[in-house]
Amino acid sequence: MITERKRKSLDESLIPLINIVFLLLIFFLIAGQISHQQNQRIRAPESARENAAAHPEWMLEMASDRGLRLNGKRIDLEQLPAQLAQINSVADQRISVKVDRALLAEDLDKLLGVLRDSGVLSVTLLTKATVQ
Amino acid sequence: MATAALGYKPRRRSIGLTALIDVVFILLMFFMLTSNFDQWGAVDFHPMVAAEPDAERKNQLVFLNEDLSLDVKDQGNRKVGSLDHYQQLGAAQRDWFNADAPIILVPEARVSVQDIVSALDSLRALGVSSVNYGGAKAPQP
Repeated sequence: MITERKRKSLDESLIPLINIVFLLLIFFLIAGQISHQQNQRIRAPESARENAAAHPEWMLEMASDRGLRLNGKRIDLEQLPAQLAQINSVADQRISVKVDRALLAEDLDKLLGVLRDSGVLSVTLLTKATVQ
Repeated sequence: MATAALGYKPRRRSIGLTALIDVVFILLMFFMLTSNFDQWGAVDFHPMVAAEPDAERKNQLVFLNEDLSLDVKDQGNRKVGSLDHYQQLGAAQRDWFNADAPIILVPEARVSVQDIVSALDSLRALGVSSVNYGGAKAPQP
């Protein structure tokens, strides 16, 4: 049985631990940002420019196997115009595109061509900002 | 009341530190697993305005070849150099471009997205007002 005195000294020894855990908690609360689960298989191209893209409303992802996802939902390139047609005033929407860095210009062109034909006027290619 | 009347104060139960640290640990785990520290950049693509009458004359076309060399059309298809070289494009190359006219980068179909973004970065670093992506060059028959 733990005596009152022993319990008190155990509690006191926990105080530095709680201090450190609180500091860590505050760090993650302030420095981290909670975002949607991103497709980790896509390695976005690296760029020295840092435009701090805001959380986009429409995110189109293309992996290295050319698999396409619109806001996390898997779709085919052929289905994309129909999906975009359901978006209200698509011409005013800014669509963010995240493609794998290993994809080729012809793959990017196919995707941009479909977006252009669907009336999308503004496309942002997401890049991973590198520290210079 | 009865206890007060009897002359002793009721003991206030304090929250145990072990229970507190359990909750704080769970919060810490949550924020550690859900936080993300990635810094995202953005390259904006705007559709080419073909209707502009003198767009072709104003734009400066730069071709990015599969061997990662750059051809500047207005400079008599002058080769700028390899990707490694043009990452340090200097003042000499800056003179080849008109700072007020937009540069349109046209890569060959087999150039990777990473090389396109690197080339756009290097051209933007020259101080030209606007550098745009012009779509992939159709493969030569």
